Amino acid sequence: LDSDRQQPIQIEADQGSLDKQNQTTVFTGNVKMRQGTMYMNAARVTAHKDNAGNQTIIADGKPATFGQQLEKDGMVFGHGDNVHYESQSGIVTITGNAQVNRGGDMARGAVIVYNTNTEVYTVKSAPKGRVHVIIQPQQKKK
Amino acid sequence: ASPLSMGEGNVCTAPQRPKHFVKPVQSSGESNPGTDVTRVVADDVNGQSQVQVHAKGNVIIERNDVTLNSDWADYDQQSQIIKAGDHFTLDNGESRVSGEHVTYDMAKSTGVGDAGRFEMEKDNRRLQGVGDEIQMGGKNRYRLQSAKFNTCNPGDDSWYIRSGSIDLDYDKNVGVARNATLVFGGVPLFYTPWIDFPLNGSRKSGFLAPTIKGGSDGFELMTPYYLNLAPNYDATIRPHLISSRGIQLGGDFRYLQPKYQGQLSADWVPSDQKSSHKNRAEVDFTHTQQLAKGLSGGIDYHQVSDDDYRRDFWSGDSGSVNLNRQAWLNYHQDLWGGTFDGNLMVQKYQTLASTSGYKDQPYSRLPRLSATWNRYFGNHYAVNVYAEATRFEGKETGHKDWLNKYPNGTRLVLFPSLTADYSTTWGYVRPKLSFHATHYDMSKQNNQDKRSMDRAVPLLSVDSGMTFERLWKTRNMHKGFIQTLEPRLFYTYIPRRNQEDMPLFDTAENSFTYDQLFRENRYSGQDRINAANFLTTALQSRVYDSTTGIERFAAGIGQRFYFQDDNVKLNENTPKNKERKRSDMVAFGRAALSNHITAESKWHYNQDLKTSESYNFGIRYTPKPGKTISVRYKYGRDENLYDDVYGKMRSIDVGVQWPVSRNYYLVARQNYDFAHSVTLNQTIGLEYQSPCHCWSAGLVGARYTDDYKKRKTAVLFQLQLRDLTGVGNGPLSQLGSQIPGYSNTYEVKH
Amino acid sequence: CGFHLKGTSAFDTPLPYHSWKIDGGSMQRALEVVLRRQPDVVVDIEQPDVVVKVIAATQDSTTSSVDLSGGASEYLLSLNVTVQAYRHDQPLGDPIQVTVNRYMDYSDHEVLAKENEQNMIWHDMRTDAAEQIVRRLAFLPVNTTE
Repeated sequence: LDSDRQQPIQIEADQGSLDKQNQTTVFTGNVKMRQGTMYMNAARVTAHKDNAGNQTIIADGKPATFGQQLEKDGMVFGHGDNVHYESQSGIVTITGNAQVNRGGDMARGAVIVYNTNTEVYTVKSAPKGRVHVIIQPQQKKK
Repeated sequence: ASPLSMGEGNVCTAPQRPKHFVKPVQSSGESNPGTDVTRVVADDVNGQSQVQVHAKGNVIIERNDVTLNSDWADYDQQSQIIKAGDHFTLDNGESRVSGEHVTYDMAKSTGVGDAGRFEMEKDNRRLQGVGDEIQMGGKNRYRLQSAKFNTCNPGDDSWYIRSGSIDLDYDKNVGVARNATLVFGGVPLFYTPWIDFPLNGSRKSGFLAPTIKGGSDGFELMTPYYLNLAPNYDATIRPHLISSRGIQLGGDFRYLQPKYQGQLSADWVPSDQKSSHKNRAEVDFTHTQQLAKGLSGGIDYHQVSDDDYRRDFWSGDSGSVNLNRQAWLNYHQDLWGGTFDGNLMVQKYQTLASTSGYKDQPYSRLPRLSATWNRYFGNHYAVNVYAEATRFEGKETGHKDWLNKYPNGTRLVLFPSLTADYSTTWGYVRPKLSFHATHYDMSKQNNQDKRSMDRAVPLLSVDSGMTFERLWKTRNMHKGFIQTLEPRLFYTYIPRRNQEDMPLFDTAENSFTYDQLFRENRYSGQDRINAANFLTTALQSRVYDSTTGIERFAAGIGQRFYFQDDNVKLNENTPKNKERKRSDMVAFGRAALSNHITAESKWHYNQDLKTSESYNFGIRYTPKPGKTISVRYKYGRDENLYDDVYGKMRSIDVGVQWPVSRNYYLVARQNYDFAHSVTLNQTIGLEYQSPCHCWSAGLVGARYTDDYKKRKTAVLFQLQLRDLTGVGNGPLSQLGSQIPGYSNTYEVKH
Repeated sequence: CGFHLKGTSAFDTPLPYHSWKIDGGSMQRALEVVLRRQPDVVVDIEQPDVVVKVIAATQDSTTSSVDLSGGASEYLLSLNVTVQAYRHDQPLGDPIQVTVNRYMDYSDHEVLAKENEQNMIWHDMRTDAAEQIVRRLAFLPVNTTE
């Protein structure tokens, strides 16, 4: 949800370190991060905030998982070896057996680029791999 | 774009035989994700959630039982329409379509593909085709534009139909092709602006086999069209071009309802250059109907416009010169503890004169009312009462220009009888007492004036016989045969009644056969009751299987001993038969030697002339459908040769249908009369079935007689296309059916 | 020469059931007459042991030989009857199929008389077929389940 951005971020981890100089915090070891309805679990999370307040979150894990409540209905959640989220553009890039589920739909591939604002996504496959997408039947919108 | 040719040439013999006309779709291998859920598998995918998906790189899309493979695909999730391209294959669970581009509506299962190939396989009937455009309307309806299609196996395009468009409706099981051309072996053979054909076997086939004929009437071409009007009505139009005569238009209309069914056929020749008759026609109408409980009726009506019609328009079967025109009502009900059967019938034969003008027009029955009441009393006694009232009219014989007329009249008959049966397992005695009463009212005719006559005569007969049995055991005990020995005595006493001046409506002397030995009256019909005081002695033997009771062999020989002369004659000028103490001797034999071999024979020894009156012997070997040989030898001392000329006839009739090689069948028949050294009919033909079983062709020549000393020849070519053309109703099979045991090459499975 | 009176020897097979009902269509009369001749048999009662139903009875006549002018001079008459026995509404044994053939001399001169003669021949053929069917009924399997 958009309101998530205004929510405080809680982070649990085994260790945490703060690099004040370029405003980067690194958490390692079973990291659990919450911001409003958005959550992320990973082995290692690097969070960076620039002075304009835009956040960049990079999570690695076997796999790293994340999820968020959507404006309309349903949840979006996913996982992947590496998850890179840019709050400014709202784009999530998942690399390494990436998967995103959204309201019953599902996309799975080597690399998934998903724009949380426009919900536009692209899925790339590994050299010999394949991309799988599941689309639920249309509920009549109007 | 994929080539529009049908296949890679005619290769259908294994092992290079291609398995499919359209490459089967590749599936994702995943389980079904749920009804109406779409699965997309590709190299790369991008899209907007809930809005649209664009997949690239050997794309596989699956939804319910539809599977689509393509290079790329765009799926608009709102309208649920997929566009796919550069090359696609789509399988909707019933058929496969492939081509360059396709637009397909997943919800409605409709779509259009271009430069397409189509393949449908359903209850072992195939249809494959290519078309510039393939429209899919649901699972069961397709339209191919500027298409080529056939019903052969993949890779076999020995023939195909090229047409502007074909519509396939697998709900109604009808295919319709418009401005279609049959291309056979690359040669366009035959064009038709419109033709429909069945997509499953249940209906009579549509596009009936075109038949080309040559012979005494020059070149002939028959191209029947089948019209699939409704589930229980259909019609066939049979245009028939005869080079020496002109156009013959024929048509059949069939109807089949729960309570009634029938067929109306008509042929019309507006102007026949080869004959003086104008507007020649034939009508055949048969109808049967269940009117109410126990009440049924029917019509059997056959008529031709002139005496030579059947001779000129050869219908293959020589048949009789008397065409039946009859309508009847049957009534059945239980009555007074027995059963009552009533019949009301009107009948007037059309009799055709021979070329010499000789004509023998029988009486018409306008009407005949008859009834039979039959009742059992326990297992031993039965009463049967037969009654009949008939108005006979219009008998004429002689040359058709100066026929002499016979007097009309009415006849009443009452014929009650009582039969008793005393049987044990080894023997029986069956006395029968009956009383035959007849009343005639004859109207005036040339020199004979009105008169009426009566006749009443009692009949007594006693049938008796014994049965002895013995068992033949084969090596293994349980299988064996039982042979019976059945002596039989049949005595009849009928007092003499003078009947010479009584009319002859429906009576003639029966042919003298083994069964006739056990009939009281040697005349058929009701107009003559022979005087009788004779004893028939006969010995019969049967062999049947001891474990199933199936009869394998039956034979019998019998003769009559007359204690009193029978001088009841048909009329004054029949020669008075000589005083006879013993009748001719008659014997028969029938055998089913194995499930494939049957034989029969008959012998009639003339006691007076001390020579054989007639004998025949026939044997048939039919190991399996498509393979049959039959030989029948027949001798007759005094046979009706033609018109009213009698003489000796000694003929042999050989019929063969035998595969001469993997795909060739020899069909041959020779019916030769040694006494006049003349061929009665002769057929020689070759049927070829294509190795891929997709078509067969028959070339058959026939020589037959249709008038004394007149031979006619016909050479017949017929092409049959698998699942498309009529099987069994073409002239080829009419010809074939004259060979005992003939079976159409389509029933022959390799 | 080994012949015994029928019914007095070991290998004789009497009818295995006592009461019968015929649903015979055109073969009704012929089957009833032949069945009533068998020893201690009851025909046509409401609750029979066995119902004999005629499934198909077809009569065909084809021209088997012609005279010198090509007209039919002999017809081959073939009667093909298929019968199925039922006990408690269940099929009993396999269908029994019998084919009877007779040749009949034909001449166009006495067409009405030949029509009558042909009806007599069909009648004799039905009796012959009925005798063969009744003999084969003796070999029906016996199941005594009531």
